[in-house]
Amino acid sequence: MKTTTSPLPSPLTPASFYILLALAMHEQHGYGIMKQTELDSSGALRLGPGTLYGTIKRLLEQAWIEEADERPDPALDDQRRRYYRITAAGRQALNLELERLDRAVTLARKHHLLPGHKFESTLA
Amino acid sequence: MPAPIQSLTRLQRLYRQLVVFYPTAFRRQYESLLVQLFDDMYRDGQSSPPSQRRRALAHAFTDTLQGALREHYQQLIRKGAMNTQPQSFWARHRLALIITGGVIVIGLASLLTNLWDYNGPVNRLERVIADGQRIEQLADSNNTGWDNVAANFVADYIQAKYYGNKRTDVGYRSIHAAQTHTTKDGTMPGLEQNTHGQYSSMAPNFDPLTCSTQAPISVRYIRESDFAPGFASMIADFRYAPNGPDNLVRYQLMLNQERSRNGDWQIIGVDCLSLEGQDHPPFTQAVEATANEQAYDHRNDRSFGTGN
Repeated sequence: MKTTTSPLPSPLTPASFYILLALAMHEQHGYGIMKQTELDSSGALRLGPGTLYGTIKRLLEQAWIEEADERPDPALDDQRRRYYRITAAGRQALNLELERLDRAVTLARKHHLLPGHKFESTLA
Repeated sequence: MPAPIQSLTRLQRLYRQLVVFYPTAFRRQYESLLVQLFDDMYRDGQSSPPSQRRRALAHAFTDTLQGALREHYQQLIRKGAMNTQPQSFWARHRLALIITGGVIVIGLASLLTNLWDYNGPVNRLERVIADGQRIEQLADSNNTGWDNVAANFVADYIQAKYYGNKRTDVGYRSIHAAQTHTTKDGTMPGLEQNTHGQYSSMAPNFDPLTCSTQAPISVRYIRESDFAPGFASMIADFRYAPNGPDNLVRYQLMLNQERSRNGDWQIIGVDCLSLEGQDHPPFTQAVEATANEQAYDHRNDRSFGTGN
């Protein structure tokens, strides 16, 4: 039987993943993304300004995110802020990454490798 | 929102200076956003415990610096990738094309405007030599002996060099008529026609340095060498009296000439030789140095022979 193999999607960097994840919920500006990321990662990933805008620049170049035209009420926020939103391609990339992570977690669970599970040692 | 510059703290000012390390293209797009983000962090950090605030701001600084380095690295990678792409013919041969174009333009300009035929001021000596050349042509047409013509040429050369402005009666004329000269047809004893169609005479005894005694005694002029076409030599024998009229020394002066592309003869070198072993180094050196200098100038001055 002929088998075909499709290349596995390259894993996203943690910064890209969390930015896409943050924008998948709603449009946000840079500082909002930063805070959301910190929250989503339970404080494990704290994006600095350089990493944040460096990653945003690359995601814009990949067309995974785009600048949002709609701005909030000027009375509520600074008009000079730039808001970003995820694109269809970005959402697809995020889905692929989530699937990859899901497979990895499923596999780890199957082998009882997740923390909190008891390891069945094969050693006598 | 970025704070007004007056109200900035030292840290905020420092951060703005740090952003300058980013590549220009990145800075153009994200500088204000980076600054705004830092200001937001700084503002929110005011309500945090000092240690947490310090940690957060230190992280912002180091992360920004790392980001700048990362962007420069990315830029280098992109440039490297661009360089591996095949370049256009213009990009590969830009320098050669510019040089070639420049040469072509200058060449065309020189052809069209006669750029190199500089007809600037010609000094006295060059005029005399130019006159000498014209006298050659005149003598040739009049079937005048070359000896006489060449003698005048050399005499003018020496006179012009050593008398310069002192001799108002010489001017640009080709003067000299020594009875010792021999001419092919013997028709011009003592007199010779100068370039202006006038006759002049001069006492045969004069010295270019001391005005005492000097006269060409014989001149041999080879119009064009048989064995080296395009080259000619003129040999003139002089009496020269560096120590007074009773102590004459014979010198031989040889002017080597070369036919230029446009047909003119140009002096390419002069040799001065004492024939009787009583050399007078200052005279020899002066003549040789001057003549060679002039020869050099003439080789590099196309106006030579134009007779301005």
